[in-house]
Amino acid sequence: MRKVRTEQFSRALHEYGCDRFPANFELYEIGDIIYGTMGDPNILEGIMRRDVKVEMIGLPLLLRRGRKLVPLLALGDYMAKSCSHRVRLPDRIIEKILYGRTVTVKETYNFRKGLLIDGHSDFVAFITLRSRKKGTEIIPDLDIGWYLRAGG
Amino acid sequence: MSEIDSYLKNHESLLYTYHITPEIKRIADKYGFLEYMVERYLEFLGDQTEDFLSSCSLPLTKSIRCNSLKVNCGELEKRLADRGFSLTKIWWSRFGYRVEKSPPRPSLGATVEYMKGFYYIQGEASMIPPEVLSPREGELVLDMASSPGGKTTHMAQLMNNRGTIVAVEKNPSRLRKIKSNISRLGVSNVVLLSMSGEEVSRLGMEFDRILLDAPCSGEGLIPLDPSRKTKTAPEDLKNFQRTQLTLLVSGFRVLRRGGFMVYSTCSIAPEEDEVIVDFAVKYLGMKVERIHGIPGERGLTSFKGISFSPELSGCIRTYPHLQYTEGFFICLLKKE
Repeated sequence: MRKVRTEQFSRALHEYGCDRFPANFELYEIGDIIYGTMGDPNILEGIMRRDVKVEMIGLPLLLRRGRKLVPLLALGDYMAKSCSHRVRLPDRIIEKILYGRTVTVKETYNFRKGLLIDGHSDFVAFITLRSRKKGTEIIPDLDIGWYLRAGG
Repeated sequence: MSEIDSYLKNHESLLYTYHITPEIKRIADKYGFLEYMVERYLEFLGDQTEDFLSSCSLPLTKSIRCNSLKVNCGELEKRLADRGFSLTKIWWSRFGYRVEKSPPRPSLGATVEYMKGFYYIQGEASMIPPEVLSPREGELVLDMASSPGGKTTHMAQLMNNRGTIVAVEKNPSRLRKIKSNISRLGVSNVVLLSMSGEEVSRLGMEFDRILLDAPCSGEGLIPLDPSRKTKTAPEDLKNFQRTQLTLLVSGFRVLRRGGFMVYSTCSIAPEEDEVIVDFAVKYLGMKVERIHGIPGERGLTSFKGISFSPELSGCIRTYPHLQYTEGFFICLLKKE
């Protein structure tokens, strides 16, 4: 477990149209996950010095997958508020995405990675967008339905 | 012999000797409970015993805790009403709602609002311990038995994600559920440690407040899980008692002077409730702070010939036939 700085991750979020790290957290890396917390840093440092197994510190924000960093659902809420690659779709289409289905919409977008938001502007999924003849294919990478499917 | 051992030994013969009469056999048979359980209910519930036993066969009204870390509660009410849910506010709770009516679809645990972390499905009585402990922004709080994270995330909400909650859980299979709930509910001030609550002194810290929602027989959860009518043998209760006392002492050691601890269980068994708190008062010198403003029956001051400290009437018990909630025991203790 070690403390890390937000600057290291800004680049990973750039593809979602984020010009800075979207949340004001102290970041810690445990295994392959980067966590963010607003807990007291002195207390956290104290715990780090002890021989105890820390499972998580605050919210899981990013996952290291090889050399790539992948944003996690908890960070999606913050990214949807401050990053520009947002895709707003009607609730009936959102429901399909929450069942893990790919959908095609007639709109076109000039980015490949995006944040899917619903009619209330709430974050729903990280998506990949692919241009098609008749519009854009929206492929869910990670959606909030994960909490039901795999959250335990 | 340790203090815990001698305490348990002193009470063993009174607590675990049962006088089963034909009337007790009849009632136990009628409601499908073990005979020793009914003998105890008659002792502390008296003529309400059969009301209690029959209420254990009725479903409880579901309840949720609105997660104000992510949504305005008025807005949540409106969004769930649009889906066909009818909510009423639980008057004593800051964030609790009873779900009076639900649509055929979606189920309460499968709405988009649930996935967004706008609420947590939580038994009404299990919202009481965090409300009673009332952790404040900036404090250092210990949750000694965190799984599945309902009370942990409730405390984070009361603290507005400020300060630090150290939550411990030993069982690896339970950790996954806690992690998922913390993430879904947007809780950012919890440090989750894989360790037993009995080892917390290893942290070398003193806490402002401690929640000890102790592992227990679950004798208060019979309306939710009827198998518990016959699941727990007296020998199991003895094992739970030892664990509960050990956790209590561990928690006491890391609580700062003037700090508060809530001891709670989802059990109505006095062996797991008043017997444990009486140890805290008589052997550890803790003081019971009387709980106000929460519906419940007063803690027992005697059971099976054992007199507890009169302070224990400041604790509360909930029952399905009186409060229409799961059975729970909650006590607020102060370290002088």
